[in-house]
Parts: sequence; structure tokens; C-alpha cells
Amino acid sequence: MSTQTIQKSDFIEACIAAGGDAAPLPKLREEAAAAARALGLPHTKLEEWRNTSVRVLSETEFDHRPSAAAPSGILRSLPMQDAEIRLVFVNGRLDEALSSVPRDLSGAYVGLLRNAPESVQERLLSVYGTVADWRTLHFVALNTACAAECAVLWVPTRAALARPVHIIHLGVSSGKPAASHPRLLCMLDEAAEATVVETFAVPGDQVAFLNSVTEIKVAADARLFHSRLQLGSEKALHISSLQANCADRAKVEQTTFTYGGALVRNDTGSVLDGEAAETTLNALYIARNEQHVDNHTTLDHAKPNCPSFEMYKGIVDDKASAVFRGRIIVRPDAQKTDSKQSNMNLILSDDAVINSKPQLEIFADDVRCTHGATIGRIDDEPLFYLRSRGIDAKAARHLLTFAFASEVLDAIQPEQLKNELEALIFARFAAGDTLPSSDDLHS
Amino acid sequence: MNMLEIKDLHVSVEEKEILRGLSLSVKAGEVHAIMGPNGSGKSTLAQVLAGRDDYEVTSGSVSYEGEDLLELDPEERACRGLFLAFQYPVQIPGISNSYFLKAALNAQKKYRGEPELDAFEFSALLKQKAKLVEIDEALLHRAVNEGFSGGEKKRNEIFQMAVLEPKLCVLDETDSGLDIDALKIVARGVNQMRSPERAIIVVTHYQRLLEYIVPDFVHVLVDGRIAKSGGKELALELEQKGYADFERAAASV
Repeated sequence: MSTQTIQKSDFIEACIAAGGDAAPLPKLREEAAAAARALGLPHTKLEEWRNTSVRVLSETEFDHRPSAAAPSGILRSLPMQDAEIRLVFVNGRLDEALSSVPRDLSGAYVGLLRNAPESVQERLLSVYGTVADWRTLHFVALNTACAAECAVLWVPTRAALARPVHIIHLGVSSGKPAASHPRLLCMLDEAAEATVVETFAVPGDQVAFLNSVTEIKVAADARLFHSRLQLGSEKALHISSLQANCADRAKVEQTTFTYGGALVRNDTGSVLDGEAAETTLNALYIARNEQHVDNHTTLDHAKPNCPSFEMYKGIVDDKASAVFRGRIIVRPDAQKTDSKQSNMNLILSDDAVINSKPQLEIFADDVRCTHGATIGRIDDEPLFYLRSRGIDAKAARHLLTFAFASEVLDAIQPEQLKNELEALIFARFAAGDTLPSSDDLHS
Repeated sequence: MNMLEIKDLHVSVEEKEILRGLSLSVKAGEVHAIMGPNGSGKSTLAQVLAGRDDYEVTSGSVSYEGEDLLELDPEERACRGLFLAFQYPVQIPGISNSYFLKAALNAQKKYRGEPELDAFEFSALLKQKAKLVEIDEALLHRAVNEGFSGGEKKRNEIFQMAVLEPKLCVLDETDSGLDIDALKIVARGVNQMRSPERAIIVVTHYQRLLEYIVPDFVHVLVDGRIAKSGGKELALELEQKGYADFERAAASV
């Protein structure tokens, strides 16, 4: 190892030293900082990190107090850029000029935790840090210690936010790579409904580190659609932890779309903590060159009669690599659990590497859990079928690659996001082909 | 000139010879039925014509409109007017039937140097052809063959054929899995496409389809060769006597 290497603890210390002062709960912050110090950075000898090295974090000199402004026009490059309800964070700080929060939100609150109305703030603070586990998860601890701000979406009982909420986190570097720790808390009271899109983007081919935590607390009968988009620079470092907690009959449909990033690690989980609660975790990850995408998911069935669905799909090209670890826990109490998991990978090159591992831990006896994983290339049968109709081999391959992705996209809310992502993927795979435009896909 | 001229065709799959010296001439305007027992090589012939590369042509030739068909990629064959209605059409989740057809039609038109259809013209064409094979327009907007019943899949093949208007249609056991009503609809669609410029090869195990698509010629394919050729009455003879006599004759060669 070179003598230039910065000590591991230096990275953690530098993050903590630069941590924002506006974040709530100073005591929690201190405890989390202690946890982050004690945990250090994970290494590949840990089972959870066996396939993903984060050494780059200790070997890179980051700018922990980045002050760069958002490049002009950056929003225009993002899907859902015109969402009327929109919070834009640049390196963890709210950019009010780029943000937009209309007055009438059906009683809901979208904004910074520290600006939330007092009565709501108290409740939000009682949830903050209780959904995602900062005591044992390295990067949740670090985020909890360092987050400069916390974005909040709160929807009161029986209210429905008809319009989607877009929370945009930009990592923008000028000089040294920027490091930031975006945080979002979504809290839906009983029978409330909302659709949230959370975008993490790094412009151009910049290096920036985004260590995000999203906590989702959904009360009885509430329903949340959440999409997480990881876009932009293929040199970015995305570490993202998302944890949901669902009460009775609550429903969370979460989709992760990974497109940018040299190193991407997503820890995504939901506790089905009420009877007949339901969670869907879907993902589409598209990687090329030397991108590395690691998805660790946990569906924790704590109560009876809960269905969960999980569909993770990847398209991996060149020397890129992808990891999927899908953990399903069925607690002794969680009878009549119905859980379906699938991980399907399409590899487009000889050098792509896929590592897929289901992990079922079942402690109840009357349950149904199915899982399946596939790793393969484009099938010959549909390829021949398309060619036999006059579509050339290259275009046929591209169309089938797109078709593989579309199953995940179909579940995405809102429709506009689905269409924009579809166009993005279509352009990635079918640009230059003699195929009808993606606008015709639904004609 | 014959549109299709197959001469002494030998084809193997994984070292096993399936077609063993098949010859066949087809002119524009003609409808040929190729009948034969299971394993006689009927579907192999259909697949080889369409260009599937799991089959190895060991000797013989196939010329289509005076050119060596075997030299062409499957997409080039399609663009030059060859169409195979699949015995087992594959489903393609994520691509709508209508998008698929637009991609195919425009690819063919581009290849032939013809102007592509705009959205309006294409939509009108689909509606018109959907009527022809009595296919529910809702199926046009569903993913290709996904969740289609057996009958819907076969009808969808004929629908595609109607939209693409090929010169040479090869129907591979299009009757299998169809009830009598669906069979009649499919046959009606095919009959409407009969024209002096177009040739149709119907590959089938049973005579039943030929009651509705009446062929000009019937060929009995046994053990990779055409054992007998005749008119439409040959199909009736087969219906009564079965393939046993032909199989015995072939075995004794």
C-alpha cells in the first residue's frame, strides 16, 4: 500500500468534523458519531461487504464542506425536473432557488425538518433515527452523525398528495470530490397517500460521494410509492440506505433505478410491522464499463398475513459487476407470510460479473416464500422471432434488452417518470438503430 | 420462373440428418401443402427456409426469386418477402404487438427503399388488417403474445402476415391447437391473402386445415424426402389411409 494512503479513521473523522450543525437531536448525533467511529469503514472480510470494497473512500481526499453551486441547467437533465413539489439539495444543503413548494399541499408538509410546524416536528423527531439502524450499519451511523439537513415529507391522516414529490440530491464537486450525507424522512399518518421520487445525481463525469439515508414510516392503511434514482456521472460514489416500517395494512411500493455511479451500494429494507402490511421492492440496475452495483435488501416479516414482492433486474455490460443479496426474514409470529423474490440478470459481455444470493430465514411454519435467480444472455428464440420479421440482429438485440428492463419500469409511479426512464433506457440501448421512436412504445 | 426452388436439400440437426434430399418447386400464385407424420422434417423445412441457424444444410440448394436463399440472414429473407408463421410463437414481454409490427414493417420498407408509414397510416393499416383476421384490437396493445391463448397466438401470426404482406408465406402447423371456429377464422385470413403474386406453403399434419385452405398441390413428406406429390385429392387419401403406407415404403428404400 502506498504511503499516501490516508488512515481509515481519517475519513470518518473528516466527515464528522464537517458535519452540519442544523441537523436535529444533538445527543443522537453524538451517539451516532461514536457508533460511526467504533464501526469504522466496512471491509471485505465482513459478510455483508464481501463483494464490495469501499477502500476508495479512505484513499480519496474529499471536500467535506463543498460549497459548489449547482451547474446551471442541471435540473433539465433529470427526469421529473418540472415536478411542482420539489426540494433540491446541493451537497446536502437546500437550494431554495431551485426548489419549489406550493402553498396548498392538502395539509401535508414538505421541507426541512428544522422548519416543520412545531406540532409535527415533535412527532418527526420522535421517529427520526428510529427506522434506519444507526447502531450497527456503518453508513447509517455516519449519515446520522453528519447529515447537514433532513428533508421531510409528512402527510396527515387520510390526506392524499395527488402530485408527486421530488427530492433531488446533487453531489457537485469543484476541485476535490464533494462528500455529503443526504437525509430524508417520509412519514405517512393513517390512510395517507403520497408518491415520492428521490433522485441522487452527480453531473458530468465528476467524482462525488453521496451517503444517503431514507427513513420511511407508514401508519395503518397508508400507501407510499417511492422511487430512488441514481443518475449522472459514472464516476460517482453512491451509498444509499433506505429503510421502511409498515403498520397494519400499510403499503409501500419502492423502486430503485441505478444508472450512474462507479461504486453503488444500496441497503434497502422494510419491516412488515403490522398485520397485512405489504411491501414491494423492485429495482433496475444498468451497469457498464467498470461500474459496480451492490444491492442488499431485507424484507423483515414481523407480523402475520403480510405479502412482499421483490423483483430485482440488472443489465450488466463490459467489465461491470453487480451484487444482489436478498434477505427475507419471517419471524415466529409472521404466519401466512407470502413472499416472492426474483433476481434476473442480463449479461451483455463475457467479462461482466454477477453475484446473486437469496437468504431466507424462516421461523414460522405456515408461510410461502419463493425465490429465483437467473443470469443469462438474450434468448435465441425471441431474437430469431424478431429477425424473422425483418428486424436486423443488432436492433433486435437492443429491443429485447429494453424489453427485459421494461417489466420493472411498468410498476413505476408516476406515469411521467416511467415514460422518461423508458425513453432514457431506450436511447441507451437502441440509439442509432432503425427502430420506431420510444414514443411509439405505447401507441 | 419458380419463386422457390429447393433442390436435393439435406439438413442435419446435431449430426442427425432430418431432411434427406428434399426437392420442391413453388410458383407465384400457388398454394402448396406439405403433409407428413411427426418427425418427417416438416417443421425443419419451415425453419430452414426462415433462416434459423441451429440447422446445418449439408448439401443441396434453395433459390428464392433466383437468388441463393441460404446465403441470406433471416431479416434479409423477411425483407425480401418471406414470412414464417411459427408453430410456437414466442412471447416478448415489454414490447407491444403494435410497436413490434411497426418496427418490422418499417425495417422491411426501409430495406426495399419504400417510404415508411407515418403513425396515422400505420394505425389505419393495423385496424384494417385486424378486421381481416378478426383479432381483438386490444391485443394490438398488449405485449407480443404475452398471455395470449393458443388460438390468439396463431391468429396473431396470420395478422402479422396480413400486415407485412409477404410474397412467400410458410405456415408451420398453424392449425395445431385451434378449435374449429378459430381454424375457420385463420383460414379465412389466409384465403384473403391468396393472390397471383403470392405463394403459400402450408405445413400440416392433418387434412382438416386443407378443407378450408384448399391447396393446388399436396406433397407427402416422409423421412426427410417428398414421397409423393399430387393434387388436393391426395390430402383426402392421406386422411383415409394415414401415413403408414408411405412410412413403410420409405423404410424399405
